[in-house]
Amino acid sequence: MTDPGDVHAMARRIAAFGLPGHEDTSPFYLPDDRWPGLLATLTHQRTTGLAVAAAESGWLQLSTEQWQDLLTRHREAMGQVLGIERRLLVLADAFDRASVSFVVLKGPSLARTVYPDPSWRFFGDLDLLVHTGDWRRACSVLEDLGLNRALPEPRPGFDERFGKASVHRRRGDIDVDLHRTLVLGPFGLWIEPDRLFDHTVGFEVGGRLFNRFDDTLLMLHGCIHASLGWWPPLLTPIRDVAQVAWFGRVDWDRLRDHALRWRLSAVVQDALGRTEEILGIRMPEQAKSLGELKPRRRERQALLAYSTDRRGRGGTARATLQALPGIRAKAAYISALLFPTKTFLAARGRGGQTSYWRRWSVALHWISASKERSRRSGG
Amino acid sequence: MSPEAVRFQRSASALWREVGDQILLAPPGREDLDQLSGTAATVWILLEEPQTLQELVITLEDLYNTSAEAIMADVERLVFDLVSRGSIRQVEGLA
Repeated sequence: MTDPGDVHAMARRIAAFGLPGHEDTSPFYLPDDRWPGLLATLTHQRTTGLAVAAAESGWLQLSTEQWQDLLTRHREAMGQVLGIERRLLVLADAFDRASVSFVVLKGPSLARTVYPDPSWRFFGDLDLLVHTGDWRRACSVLEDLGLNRALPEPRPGFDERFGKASVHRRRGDIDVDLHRTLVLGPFGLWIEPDRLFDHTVGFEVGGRLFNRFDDTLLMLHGCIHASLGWWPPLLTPIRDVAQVAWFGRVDWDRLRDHALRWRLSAVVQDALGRTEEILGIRMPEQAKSLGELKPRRRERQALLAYSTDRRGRGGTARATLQALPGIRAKAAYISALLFPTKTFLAARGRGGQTSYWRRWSVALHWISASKERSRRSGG
Repeated sequence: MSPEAVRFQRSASALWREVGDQILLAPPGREDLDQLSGTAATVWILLEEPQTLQELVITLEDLYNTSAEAIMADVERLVFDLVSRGSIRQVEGLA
């Protein structure tokens, strides 16, 4: 039984609403003094839609005031979502004119397909995947619309070779994340981005057809996002994993093949385990076969670079370096990180500073701290 | 076609979300949002399928236990307002 005073535990129960295995159906009353905390958590975790559905079902018992508070937050969230879908329609016209094909990732592609009602799933930006070969052209399309890169690439050509995505924004507008692969670092290098386009299907937004991943790739991408995304993980990507697993038409054998081919076994296992633990549910029987995979040591180590405190100490960059094939690629990567363009340094540095020394000192600090930890542990 | 035979349906290009018992609507080609509540939200839900004004009024009569005369003018005004905003379209012919 959840302590009614623990808003985080309550938020997790709400995030599991409507899933098989969420069998605690006795009405839940929340003490008044805990409501502001829970409402803030629901808003931060972007799960107001699930809370509204839970309250409408009668499971989550709210006072009239609490209900009105929740609706106000949810209305704001849905207003944002509709603005993003409007933007998608405009962007689609621009990409069409430039003959750039794209796949809609996450947000609308999940909300409108695997969830019973799109208002259950909030999204705060737009994620689009393009072929690496179309990357420059796609960036130009966004810039022509006034959506400029939030951060330049470290060196010319870095994005296509080592990058994952660039964030494009305009004041007062939404963020557009333009992807060429699904994740930064070693796992992003092991995925074959152009093959992702082989597994897409159509879905509709505003009377227009868009491409999205089929449910099997939705599941794989959901696992990547849940395992390698925010740390600690947010509830929405965790819920996505459960939602697609239970309600999508996942081809579990193909998912297994993708996980093996792109060295994502450890990631998938990690995401499935976290989903069960955080939401307190069980995953479908078919998912069990993925638990029998034996991830390679390199995969397991790469995963630690994202999901432990190594992440904040250059762990992803070091894991990327190890995953890059050949000396030339490694040298190009190190060179780009140590000697980025002045434009990049100015964008990253405080107050537009363009100091190489400041950048190198961070790396030196990571190395010395790592040696110190190793010495203390007797390693 | 006689005016009574005209059917109406939600426009596929209208983006919307249900928020409690309200409908948040993003009509095409505009930046602002419309909010429908009460009977207007019910009309929106009913217009998933093509309906004549008469059919809409008969359903609402039952749902809200009211008379057709009392609501006909309001329903007509609402529907034509949403048509002018592009959220609802007229559908040719009878089903």
